[in-house]
Amino acid sequence: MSFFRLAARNMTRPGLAMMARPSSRVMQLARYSAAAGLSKEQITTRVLDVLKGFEKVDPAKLSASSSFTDDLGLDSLDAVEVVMAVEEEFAIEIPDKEADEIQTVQQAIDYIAKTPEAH
Amino acid sequence: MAAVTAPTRDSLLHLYSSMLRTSRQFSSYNFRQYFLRKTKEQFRDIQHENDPAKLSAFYGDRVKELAVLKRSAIVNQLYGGWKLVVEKQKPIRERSDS
Repeated sequence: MSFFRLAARNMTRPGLAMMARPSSRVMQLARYSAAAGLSKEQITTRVLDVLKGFEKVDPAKLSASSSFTDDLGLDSLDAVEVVMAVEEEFAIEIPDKEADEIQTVQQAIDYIAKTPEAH
Repeated sequence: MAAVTAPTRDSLLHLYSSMLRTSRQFSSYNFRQYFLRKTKEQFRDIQHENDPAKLSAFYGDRVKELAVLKRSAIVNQLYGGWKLVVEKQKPIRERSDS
C-alpha cells in the first residue's frame, strides 16, 4: 500500500515543478530576443571620451572623423595606447592585425560596432 | 661580428601592445600601474633609436620580460586582494540584451 503511495508521490512531484516553470522561461526568451548591442551614438561618445582622457589629444581637434597621426598628432606608440584604452573601455581584445588597421577614430567606432561582444 | 638585423617597426609595436595588455591584467593596483608605467617609459626611451644592435637587444630583453610578466600576472590574479579606494570603479554597463 505504502509503496503505491510513494510511487504516486513521485509521479505528481515533477508535474508540479513543470507547472511552476513556464512563466519564468517565457520571460528569459523575451529578454534574449531583444535587439542586441550598442547604438552608434553610444559607441561614438564613449570612444571620444576615451580619447579626451589622453593628455596629447587636443579636444578642439577631436571629432569622429579625425585621424590619430594626421589630425591629433599622435605617434605610433600613442596609437597603440589609444587602441588599448578602447579595448579596456569596451572589455574586448582586438587582434594585432586588426588593431594595426585602426588609424582613425571612425575606424575604431566601426570596429566596435561590428564586434558583438563589446559592451 | 655579423650585422644584426633590427626588429621591424610592426613587431616592436605588437610587442608593445602585448606588454600593455599583459600589464593590465594584474589585479593589484600598484603592480598594474607600475608595469604599465614601466612599459611605456621603456618604449618611449627607445622610440628614436636607430642602432640595429641596440634595437634587437631591446627586443630580446622585452620578449623575455613579457614571458615573466605573463606568469606574474596570472599569479597576481590569484592573490590580488581587494580593490583600493583610489581605483576607478567601473560603472555597470547595461546592454539591451543583458
